[in-house]
Amino acid sequence: METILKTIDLTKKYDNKAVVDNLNIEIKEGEIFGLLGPNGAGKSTTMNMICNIVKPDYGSVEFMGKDFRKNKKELSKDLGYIPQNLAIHGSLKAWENVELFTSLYGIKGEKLKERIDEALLYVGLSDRRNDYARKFSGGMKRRLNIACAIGHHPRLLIFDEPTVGIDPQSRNFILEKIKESNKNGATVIYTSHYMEEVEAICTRIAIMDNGKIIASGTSDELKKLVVDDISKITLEEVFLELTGKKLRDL
Amino acid sequence: MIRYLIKNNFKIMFRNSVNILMFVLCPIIVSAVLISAFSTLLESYKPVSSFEVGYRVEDDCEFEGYIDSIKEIGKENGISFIEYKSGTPKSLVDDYGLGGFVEFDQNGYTLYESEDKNVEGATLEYMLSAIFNGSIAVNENDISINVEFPEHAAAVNSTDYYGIIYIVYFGGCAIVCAAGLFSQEKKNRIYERLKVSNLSSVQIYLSRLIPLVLVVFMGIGAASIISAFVLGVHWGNIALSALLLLLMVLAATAFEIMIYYISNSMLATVIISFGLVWIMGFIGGSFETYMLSGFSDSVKNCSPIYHVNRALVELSSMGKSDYVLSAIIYLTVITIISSLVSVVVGSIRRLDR
Repeated sequence: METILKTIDLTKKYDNKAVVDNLNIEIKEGEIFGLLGPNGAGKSTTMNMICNIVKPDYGSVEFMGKDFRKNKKELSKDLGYIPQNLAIHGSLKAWENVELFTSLYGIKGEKLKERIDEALLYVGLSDRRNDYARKFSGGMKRRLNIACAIGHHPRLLIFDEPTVGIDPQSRNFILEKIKESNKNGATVIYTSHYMEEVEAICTRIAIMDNGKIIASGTSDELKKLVVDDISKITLEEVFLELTGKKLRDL
Repeated sequence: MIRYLIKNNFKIMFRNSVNILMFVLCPIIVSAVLISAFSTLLESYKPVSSFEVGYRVEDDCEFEGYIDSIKEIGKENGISFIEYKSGTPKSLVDDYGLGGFVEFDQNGYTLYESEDKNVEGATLEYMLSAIFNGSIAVNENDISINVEFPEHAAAVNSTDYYGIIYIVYFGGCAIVCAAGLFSQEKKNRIYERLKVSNLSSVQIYLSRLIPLVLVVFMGIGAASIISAFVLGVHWGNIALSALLLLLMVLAATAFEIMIYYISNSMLATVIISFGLVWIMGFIGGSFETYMLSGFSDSVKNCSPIYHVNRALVELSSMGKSDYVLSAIIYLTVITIISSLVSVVVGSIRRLDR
């Protein structure tokens, strides 16, 4: 498989403390890559640097073989970012939210209308297209948040904890849709605190702590780092074993 | 590319009922209250159509032969001269409600004005001055009349004055209209989503400026139309007044967005913007009766609101104003400088983060 995204010595410091420290990860096209880590591990900062939201102090991001920062104009249309926050406007209708964010990538006219319909259908909000987003439940807002990021058909989708605070049905729906997107050809980077989610959908997982990747591989490979009999351990136990049980956000 | 962003930002601001209250209802309500409260204070500036003036000709007056011509000129301009042989000028003015009293004597004339009728007095004074200084040719066979009344004779009344300046004042508080949008963008981190896309700092800036200007201008435009129909406010040259209001909103919006870009806080932006608008309004006549401020001209000229107020009020009352050009230059300079600063600050913030 071809490498779609690569971080080279990616570093970000706040107050002289490295939040992300010489990070080198490589994501292959067609993967669902899971990034796990306790609070403050540097996951969100990594995602923000990959998406060009935060400028790295050192290092670079290669996207589709090119320096992303230097070729942003050309490459940004192939990236879809689903932030942890519900980055939607409550005073816009569902279709208007999708229109706003999809149009940022140069899609207009009839094509834009088609993409809006397609994205809303994809997240199961076609029937609610004319409702204001502020009237939606948490799960519906999460789905709309996703619809806003997929309308321009990106090759790489970055999900930053997309299932926070929603009911099991909505969570299952979102996970199914992520798998469906992947089957349709999209590469996915997925961060979450829910181990079972990551285990269920990710083809490869990396565990991050103190700004560095401390382990990576498939779910089974990670389990084998801790015990020989992988049926006797869960991914959560592996995670706690590798990152420790001490509270991080004191 | 930003067409849809502008359109949707416009919808977000337009759907906020607070904006309708702020830019349509507030100017009308405040204007109505002040028009009512200060109507008598500005009454002296109402134009007068006709009035009576008393006169007396002393025995040795060398202008006696011209008196009929002067009376004729006065009559054609709404001033009726009535001769009083006896009584003091002051008592005659007070007792008969005269607009003034003229005593023609050997050396010229003495004018007594009524304390309550400044406009009538000034008009009479102007006419006599024009006659005796030769602006109006007077002789028994050929009377040529060219009376140009002083400008204040057609000056503004309280309805036009307060009806106009409070629309300008509220137009200066444009940033309130964007408070909901900017707060939502920040709270929900929508700005990050814009950064992920390929939008430049200029495009992001324009996607905020343009809809904000449109919504505020539509709001105060509606307030202007309603004030014209409901309160009877006259706008004089409508096209030029509309242009000035549009430029005023554009400058206020650009300046206040610049404050927001620099401070990165909506609360700080509102406090600073409102404070500055209040100060500029205070200097510029927003809380005065026809800009009769105690400030010197050099201080008043520092306020863009003064130039806009003065231009619009004079357009309303006289149909022309020397302040139109200065207001346009002032507002254009503010818009350009503020926009440049905003784009630069936006670019630095974008790279730094």
